[in-house]
Amino acid sequence: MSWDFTYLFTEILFYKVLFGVSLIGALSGVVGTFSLLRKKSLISDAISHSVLPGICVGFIYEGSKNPLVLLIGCLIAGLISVWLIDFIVRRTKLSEDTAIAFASTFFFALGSVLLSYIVAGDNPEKVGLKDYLFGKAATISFEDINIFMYCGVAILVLIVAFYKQIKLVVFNVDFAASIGISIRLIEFMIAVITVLTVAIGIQAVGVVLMSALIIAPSAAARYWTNNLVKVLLLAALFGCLASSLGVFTSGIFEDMPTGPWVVTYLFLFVFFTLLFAPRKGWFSVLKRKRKTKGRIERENVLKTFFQLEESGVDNVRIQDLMQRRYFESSVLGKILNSLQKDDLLQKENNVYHLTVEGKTESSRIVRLHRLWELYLTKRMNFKEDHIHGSAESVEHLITPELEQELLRDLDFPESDPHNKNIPY
Amino acid sequence: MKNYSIEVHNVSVAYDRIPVLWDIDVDLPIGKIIGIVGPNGSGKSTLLKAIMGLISLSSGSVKIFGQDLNESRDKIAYVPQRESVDWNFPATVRDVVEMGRFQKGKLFHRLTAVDRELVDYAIKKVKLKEFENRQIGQLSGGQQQRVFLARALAQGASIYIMDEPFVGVDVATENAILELLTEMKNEGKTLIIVHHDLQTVSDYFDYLVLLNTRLVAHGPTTEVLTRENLQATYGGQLNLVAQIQELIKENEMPLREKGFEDK
Repeated sequence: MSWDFTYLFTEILFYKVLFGVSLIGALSGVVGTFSLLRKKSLISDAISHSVLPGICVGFIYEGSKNPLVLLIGCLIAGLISVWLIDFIVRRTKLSEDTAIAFASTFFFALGSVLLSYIVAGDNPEKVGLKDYLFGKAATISFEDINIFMYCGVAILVLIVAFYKQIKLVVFNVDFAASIGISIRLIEFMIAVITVLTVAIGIQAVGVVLMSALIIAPSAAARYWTNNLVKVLLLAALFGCLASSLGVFTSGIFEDMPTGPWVVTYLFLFVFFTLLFAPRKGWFSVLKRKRKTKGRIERENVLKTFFQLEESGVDNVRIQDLMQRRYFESSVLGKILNSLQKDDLLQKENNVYHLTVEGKTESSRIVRLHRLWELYLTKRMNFKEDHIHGSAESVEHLITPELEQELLRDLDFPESDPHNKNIPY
Repeated sequence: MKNYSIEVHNVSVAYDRIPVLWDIDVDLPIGKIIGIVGPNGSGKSTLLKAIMGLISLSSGSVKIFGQDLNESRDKIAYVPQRESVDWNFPATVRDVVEMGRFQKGKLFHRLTAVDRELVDYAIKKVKLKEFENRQIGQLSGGQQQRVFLARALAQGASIYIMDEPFVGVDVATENAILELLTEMKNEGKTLIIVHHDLQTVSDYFDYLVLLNTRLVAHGPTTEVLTRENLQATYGGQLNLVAQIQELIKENEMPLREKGFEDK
């Protein structure tokens, strides 16, 4: 293995590849965002598989690996597959997933047949054509990069120019049509930019893995923000970053493929996102759950104090609490401490008293419990022995606004269905 | 000739060869709250889509203030069914209402100061000012319906076409919508609303179109809302028509022979 970093960074070839692949990654992120929002991520898979026969036909026609001719071959083949999927969905009883699976495998089979035909032939240019299957970033030439640049600029200009139209069609196609936007034109444009992106991308990551580059960056980006422009930029960043990391990895370790590494990094990003994203991420959800659980336990302790004082126990000790309601002793200790810290509870010689604030808070919880029990019996015809369980959980959920509504609806009642006072 | 907001001439529409609208011929007045009423599958939404040019007609034509749709798009605003979009879309209330100020021909489109004022006004009208920067998925169903309404308001049209705006909506939103509709009517706007709840029909609308694949009746609510008309609208599909529909599908029969549209 070669570990010569200085060699790596002085090599112009390396920069060339780095630039080309990063550009592809950023573009894929942007274009993929529209696929994601249209719920058409899978179509990119069909497109990437279907460009293989496009490349082969381009090669057979030209007799050499002229990048422009191959690109045009890709574009035509990709558009045919998009059209075919649309045609199958509209004109047959087959569903969209069937149509996509059919198109992607059929075109891939066709491409493989053509590829073996070319490989069996005696055109010396055929060497390297198989690299389109899994991609070989190192074969990117300056001519390729020129083409990437032109395509990239064209795609970005189209997206910026038609941004509002695209957004409208993606969000609400009927409304877009109602104000006179040509749906066919915009959908065709989205198809063209998707196919173009796939076509320039397969050289780096290959036919088989290209759809990951379209799907993954936007899927991750959507988790981090609710703003479309930010989703687009973030998807571009993810795509770009994963691509550069892929190029570095394959540059540092000899014989390491670029494409599979790019895809591996992408999925690390997605995985990281699923764990750490705000609100919807795994840790965020877990944190919310724990917070709620902690609040419920705390409120239960306060409620138990209220009930004990209601039944005449003035000097509450830990044993009294444990007798009245089951608490885990370690949890109970922590809650008692935190209640003291918040000045809801006072402790003298192992005897606890609610402070004034503590009384207010505990009576609020008991009030919600009893109000809800009353509501269940009065308005929803529940039997009196069936209401306690529901009130045990609902008491922790009722917001001040809902409480006001309950009070108004029940006209500030005095006692609950079990003839206990409702404390105010 | 009398002035109409929308003229529907002999319109027929077929989905997958099954006719869902048959020879609908109706002229709608100006400045009224018009209800399009009928049972499920009676073609109410289809009629709206036919008026808005969202589906191709098997035959017939539609005029808006006597003009073709393409010449009068800025006079007509469409409020689709709430369920027709994905509310997880990364957009705020304001983003969606701004879509109402979009002009189709313009590239690199930007809002002007006037546009922004109109958007502000529309958001306030539907009482969503405090939610304007919230992501649309974090709204209640009623609030989402009001977002769509605000977008239509921002369009500043004369005719408003709404597909089931009262479905899945809380009482507050229902009242807000009704208040808004009355206000708009008093400004001379025409409101055309697809509705399926018979209970509320006479409270909401002053003009009715009763539909069940074919036109059953149309006219002022007090005249049209009779037992016989309702029987005809809701009394189930006509058996013979249903059988003909099946035959048309089985035989791959064109609904109209070619050349009919040109007449």
